Amino acid sequence: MKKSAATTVTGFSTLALAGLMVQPLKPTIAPPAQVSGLDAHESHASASLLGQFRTNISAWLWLRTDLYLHNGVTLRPRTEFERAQGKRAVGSGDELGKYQGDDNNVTVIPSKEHDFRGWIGDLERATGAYKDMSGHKHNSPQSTLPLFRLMTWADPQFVKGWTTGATVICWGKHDRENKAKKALEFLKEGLRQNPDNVSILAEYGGVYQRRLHKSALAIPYFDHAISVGSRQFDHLSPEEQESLQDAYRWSVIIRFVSGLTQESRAVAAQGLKFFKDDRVLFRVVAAPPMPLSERNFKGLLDTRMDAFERHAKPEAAHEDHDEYSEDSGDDEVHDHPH
Amino acid sequence: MNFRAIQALAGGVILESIRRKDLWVVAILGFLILLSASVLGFFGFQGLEAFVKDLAGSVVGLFSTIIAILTASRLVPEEIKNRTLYPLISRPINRFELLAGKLWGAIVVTWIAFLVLCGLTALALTFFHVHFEVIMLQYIFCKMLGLAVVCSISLLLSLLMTIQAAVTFSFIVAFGTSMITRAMTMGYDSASPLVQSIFRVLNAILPQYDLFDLGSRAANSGWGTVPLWVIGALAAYAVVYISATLALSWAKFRRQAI
Repeated sequence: MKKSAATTVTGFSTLALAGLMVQPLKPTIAPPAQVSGLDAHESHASASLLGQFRTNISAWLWLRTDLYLHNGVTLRPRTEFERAQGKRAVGSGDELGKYQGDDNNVTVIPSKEHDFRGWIGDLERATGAYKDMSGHKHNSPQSTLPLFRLMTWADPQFVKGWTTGATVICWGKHDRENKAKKALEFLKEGLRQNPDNVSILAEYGGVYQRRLHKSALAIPYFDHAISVGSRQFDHLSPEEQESLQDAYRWSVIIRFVSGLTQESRAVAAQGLKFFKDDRVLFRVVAAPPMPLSERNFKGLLDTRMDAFERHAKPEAAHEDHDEYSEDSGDDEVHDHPH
Repeated sequence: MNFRAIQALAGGVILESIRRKDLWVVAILGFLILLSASVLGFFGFQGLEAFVKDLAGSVVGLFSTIIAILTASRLVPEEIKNRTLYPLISRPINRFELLAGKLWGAIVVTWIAFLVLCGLTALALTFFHVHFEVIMLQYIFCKMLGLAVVCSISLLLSLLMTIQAAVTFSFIVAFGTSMITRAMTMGYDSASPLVQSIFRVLNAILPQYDLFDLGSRAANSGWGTVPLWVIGALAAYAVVYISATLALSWAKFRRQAI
């Protein structure tokens, strides 16, 4: 009895000691970081046990999409220590890499030169999904599309599933219009499940604007997102705030290049109350009056849109005909719906 | 060593497993897999092949690991508890042969369960036109080696602690080792020399179950087969690990008062 008690005490003491010894590694192994896609779930105060199960499923599916884009190779962000040591991230050889954060990612199974495990590491690299991912390319995002349908079916309140799913539907340069229509249908269902959601509204407008170049159809969605978001700004998640900022930018730029300078400035000034450091909004407020002629404004729009897309976060595209839609399909920005 | 006795003991374990209807549990789990597959089929499998194979591999791996742990953990403690061990040790076999026979039986039961689950899963996926590559055969073989290692560790733990504790600890080892290994590889460079040496020892001691899991390669396309020397190295690792745990089990069991 005494012997087993002594063994138990010794065992727990050893565990405690080992735990204390590895404490300094905590910031390296588990840095304080938000896992994108998971935090959206925790905002549902009314989440029931079943709801939690659903959100867990959708979060798991969300993480799997990243895995399949990398053909099974698991990546993780570099630790602060690795960054300080100059360990190189894998980078990416295509446009999708910036969405995936690959500029800061390394493979979970380490390369031989960063692995202390010797032959065990060699075996893992031979049996696990490991390869040198420097400048890697991704599988087509469209291969993950069924997962987005599955995750939004499992958890219709998973907003990022709707918005990113729309981006995935629009991915690629071919058949843009048809893809945009499908994306808008997808987002329409998302709006039905999440009425007045700022992110989905902004995405909706984004599809019209970026993919279909139908500013007249896009702006009501941006304005609606602004209307909803500005009323409850303090209750928005960081992702929704980001969407609101995008909605402000687009709304302001579309008005500005349409010649609606005063209106554009008013919206920009309103946006600056929430996003004080936004350079796009600030420039519009500070810009001198710009006379536009009917003849040159379309070219100007394209130039400014291209510039904006280079500087702002690029995203998805879409189209649709519902309570907001205009039947003209007019591309011209000066056809402002208001 | 009396191989016939070992074989007879293993046969007893298999018969006992059938009598206890353990394999019925496997059949029910298999039925659940088929049911889940048909639910997934509602969405259509087009574009979901990698996901479905990945999911199927995970589920089959999970269920078969549970069966391996539950089968191997209770072999010796229940024999002692039910006093059925006495007639066994009164026969012309030593305690090492007894342990080896029990372990071999547990491994075979686990393999049967694993292959049944694999068969049912393959049936369900083939029905939905999901194709498999040759690496899937390597996946099955390596997984069987890994399950044998799980059985040997569970048997060892069941001799060191109560059944409940052994089962719990076996689950922690089976599902937690990869997390520990991952954390060690991440933190090794930034650790102090003392902690680094602890990591090296831990890495050598902990069973590397992940090495036997080719699931991520089998689920995703274009990886090709694993070289034969790797399969050979894995088999050697499994044999060495199982021999070591069996030797430790015997060291404990031979002095154990029954």
